[in-house]
Formats: sequence, C-alpha cells, structure tokens
Amino acid sequence: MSLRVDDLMLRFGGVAALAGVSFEAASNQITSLIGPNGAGKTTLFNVVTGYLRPQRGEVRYENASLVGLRPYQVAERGIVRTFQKTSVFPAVTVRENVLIGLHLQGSSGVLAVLRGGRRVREEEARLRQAADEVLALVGLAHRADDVAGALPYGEQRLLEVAIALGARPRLLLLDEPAAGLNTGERQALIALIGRIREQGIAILLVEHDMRLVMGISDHVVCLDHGQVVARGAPAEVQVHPEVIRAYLGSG
Amino acid sequence: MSASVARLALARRPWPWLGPLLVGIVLVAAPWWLPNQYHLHIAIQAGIFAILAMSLNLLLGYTGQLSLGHAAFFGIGGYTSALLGKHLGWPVFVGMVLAVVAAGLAGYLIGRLSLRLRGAYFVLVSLSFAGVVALIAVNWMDLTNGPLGLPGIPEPAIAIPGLGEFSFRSKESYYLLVLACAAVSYFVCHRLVCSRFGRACVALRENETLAQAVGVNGTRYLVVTAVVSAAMAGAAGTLYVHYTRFVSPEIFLFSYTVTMVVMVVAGGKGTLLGPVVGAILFTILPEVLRAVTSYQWQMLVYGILLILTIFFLPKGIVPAVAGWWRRVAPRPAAATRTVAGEAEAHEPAR
Repeated sequence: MSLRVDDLMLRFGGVAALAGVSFEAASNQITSLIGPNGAGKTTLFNVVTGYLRPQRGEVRYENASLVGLRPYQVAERGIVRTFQKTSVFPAVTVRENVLIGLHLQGSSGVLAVLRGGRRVREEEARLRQAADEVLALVGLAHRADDVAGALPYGEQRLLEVAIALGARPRLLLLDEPAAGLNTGERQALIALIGRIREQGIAILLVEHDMRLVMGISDHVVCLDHGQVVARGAPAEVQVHPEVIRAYLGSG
Repeated sequence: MSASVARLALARRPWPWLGPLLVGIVLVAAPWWLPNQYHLHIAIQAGIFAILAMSLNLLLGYTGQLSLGHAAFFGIGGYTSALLGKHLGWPVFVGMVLAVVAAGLAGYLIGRLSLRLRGAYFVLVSLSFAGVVALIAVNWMDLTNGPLGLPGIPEPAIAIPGLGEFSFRSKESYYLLVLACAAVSYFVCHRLVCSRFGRACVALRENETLAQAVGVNGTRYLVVTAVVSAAMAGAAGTLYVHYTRFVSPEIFLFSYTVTMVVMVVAGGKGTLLGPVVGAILFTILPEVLRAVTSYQWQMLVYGILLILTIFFLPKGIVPAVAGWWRRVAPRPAAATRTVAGEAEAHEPAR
C-alpha cells in the first residue's frame, strides 16, 4: 500500500471538513475520490500535500509520515498535485512552465549558477530535453514557445498536468482535471491519464464526471460530509445505496 | 546607425555578440567622447543607480517582493567601507569588499525576519529597517559623527607591483571602475535569471502555491535573492561614498528608494535591461530639465513625464520597445530566446 490516510480530522469553525477519513491508495493504481460538493475532497488533497495540517490523524506514504511537512517537502517525496482552479505560470512560455515543474530534477544552486561552467550547461540542456519530452507526452509540443497565459482553457489544463509530470511524481494527485473540458479534450485527457499510468505513476483523482471516473478507476472512494461512505471497485460504488443517497438525497 | 541596418543584422543574427560588443566599446570609450567632466559625473551617477536598480529588480521584478528599504543596504555598504577606511585605515578595496558582505548580511537578516510571511510584511519590515539604520547613523555620534557626516573618505587605490600605486582620483578612472562594477552586476543578474534559480524566483512571483507543489522551497529562494540584492545595493553604496568622498545619514533617504523603484518600474521590471535603461534615463532627465527649465518647473515636468511613461508604457520602456521590435522585425520562433520572466508584451486591453 502506497498512500495511507488514517482517521483524518479537520474542522473549520463548526464545520467538520474531514471527520475521520481513512483510506488507502495503492501504487500503480488509479484511485478516485468522489462525493458531492463540500464533501471534503479538496480539503483532503490539501492535507495530504501539506497545504493544511490536520487536527487529528495521520498521512503515511511508503511508511513515512507526511503530516507537518511543508508542500515543497511533500513534492520532494514524490507526491505532486494539480489544482482545482486552473493554475499555471501565466507570464512565461509553456516550456518555461514545464522547466519550473522540473525544478527538483536539477541541482544547481546559486553559487554553481554564478560560476557557470560545463556542469550547469549540461544540466540546463538535460532539463530542456526533459521538458520537451513531457510536452510531447501531453501533446503540447507545438505550443512550447507560446506564453502560457495565452493558451485556450483546455490546453492550460493539460499544461497543469505537464507541470506536475515535470516534477517526476510517483503519486500524482489530480483535482478535477476534466472540469470544463469539451468532449474531445476529455478524451485526450483520458488517454493521457492512461499513458501516465503506464509509466508506473499512481494517481489519486478527484472528479465529478462519473463516466470518466467509472471508466478509468481501479478503486473508488466516496466521501460525504467529511466521511468515507463507500469504497470499492467502480461497479460496486456506483450502485452503493449510500453513494446514491449522498448524491440524490434521501427524500 | 540606421534602423534598416540594425534590422538586417538582427534578422539574420550572424554575430549575436556584435551588438553587446559595440555597446561595450561605446561605454568604455565614454570618457573620451563625453564633452566634459560634468557629463562624466552624470555618467558615474547613472552607473551607480544602474547597479541599485538592478539590485532592486532582482527582488521586485523576479520574485515580486517589494523592498521599500533598499536605501538601507545602499547606506550600510557606504558606511561600512567609509568607516573601515577612515577610522581603521584599511585599504579601500578591502573595505569595499567588506561593505558588500555587510550589506549582504543585512539582507539575510531582513530576509529571514520577513520573507516567511512576505508580501506586505516584507514591505513593512524593509521600510522600518531602513528607518532604524538611519536613526543609528544619526544618533551614534562617536561612530558616525551623526548628521554632520564623515568627510575625507579616501579614494580607492591599488598598488601594482613594479609600477607603483594607482589611485582612482580622476573622474575618468572612477567612471571605468563604476562601469566595471555595473557590468559585473549585470552579469550576476543575467546568470541568476537565466537559470534554474531564476526560474524558481519567477515561479514564486507568478504562482507561489503551484511553485511549492512542484518542490520550490519559497522562503529559501527569496532569502538568497534578498542577500544577493542587498549585497549589490551595498556595492553601489560603497562606490557612491568613495566617489563623493563624503557620507552622511542622507544616504538613507527614502527618496533614494523611490528613485530606484521609479527606475525599475519605468524601465521595465522583470527584464534584464529595464533597470539599466531606467537608471540612465532617470539620471539624465533631471539634469536636462535643470538646463532647460526654471527650478519651479523641474519636478513638475519630471512628475508629468513619469506619469505619462507609466500610463502609456505600463510594463515599462524595455518591454514596450521589445514588443514593438518583434512586430517590426519578425524572426522565426526558434531564434527567439526567451528569458525567464521576460513576458511577451501583452498589453492590457484598454
């Protein structure tokens, strides 16, 4: 078991965003988190990646605790996320965006950079090549020299995934990557998620598009009011009475 | 040089180093083509302000953090080498190096104190730090001679074995010293900005939340940038006091910081050339105005020109010229070298 979340609790004032959430996300699998708006999915992402600290509970990745780490330290451990709202570096080119994503693949510090020299130049060349490979993987190679902020929405969402892939995650957390995409773009995204998985990267996915979730997930966890109400294979969760109640109400 | 010649040269770019080389020759030769010592004096001031503006631009332009206390690092650099040279009689160049170190340490202190929270906190902490340092300079009479200042600061000199001592007493030699320091500062900025380091800084400016998600340790990069920036401002400070041969608490005046911000913003923040162009223009402008208008009109015209610049070129002079150049002389995409942070000129819709 790769990522293990145990009894997470986080309250915002009187609202329990997470009320004792426990689940596991296996390596080499696609695990999806579903649940109505406000169920605590994004809060859970924020806790796992160090943006929020839980009041109780534990997050373990490959048997080391992640609680208390800052976001960049979580990234150093191979866990990289995307954001629900479109999030790129708008003023620089698409290639520069991915190069920023590749930050952890380089090692030149400020002194090395000032001295320059062959090692720094080689690293730079290596990073640029890696960036172009990532861009080819997500299908944005033709956009490499365009300014990220000028890309259409669908391509910006792909770029987000490219930035995250640049960081060479072993576990990739995608927060509603298909939100707002048209049919063609959604198909491209599904294909991309398949290619990412083939590279041996585990995925934890938050998504409202049920057809997408049920089509690609190995394991589905349903949250409601900060608690896990159902988990299992897609086919089981889909017909689980608690899931139907969470989405449709009990009236 | 006619525009068409320049256009042809850039379109093919057979010798990319040709332009910088020519600019370098013109700058080095300035003592011989400038008509008199007054013009050389302005050139020295422009060089010192160019270093200051480049230093502020590292923080403001590339990490997005505004230091309103940059005059503090300028003054710390100035006072450090002035005191070492005057009170302890240390060689001026040793004092100058230590001035850069002292300003860098001050930058580290301020960075550690405020860059964890950054944004408005950094603005306020840097501003108050400048106030505190100025008060020390005014009130520690025994050390600094208070508001009267320290006159008689020695000029830099180097002993060349076998040739005797060479002193930078003449304006010509001092200009070349300032030019060399400005060139080193530009080189440092260039190396930092066009690297993994500079990309991390730009990432923090553009989208800090996302930068952290891919492993950028925000505080660390901001503190290192603050150290480099402060050290560079310290270098400008030490060059300034050994030029005027005098230092007083006026070196900490807020107006120095404001001038730096004006130069960076008007020249084009987040570009390598912007602060240099801004520094040259806004050093020359007051002198030109002094020559052509009466005293009452000087600051008014200066203010109006500044407002017009910001209004019509909101991204600054250099990005505007670069954007115009791209439209007149389109080049294949492969030849366009983008520097991190040098955004394509996207004029906001008006």
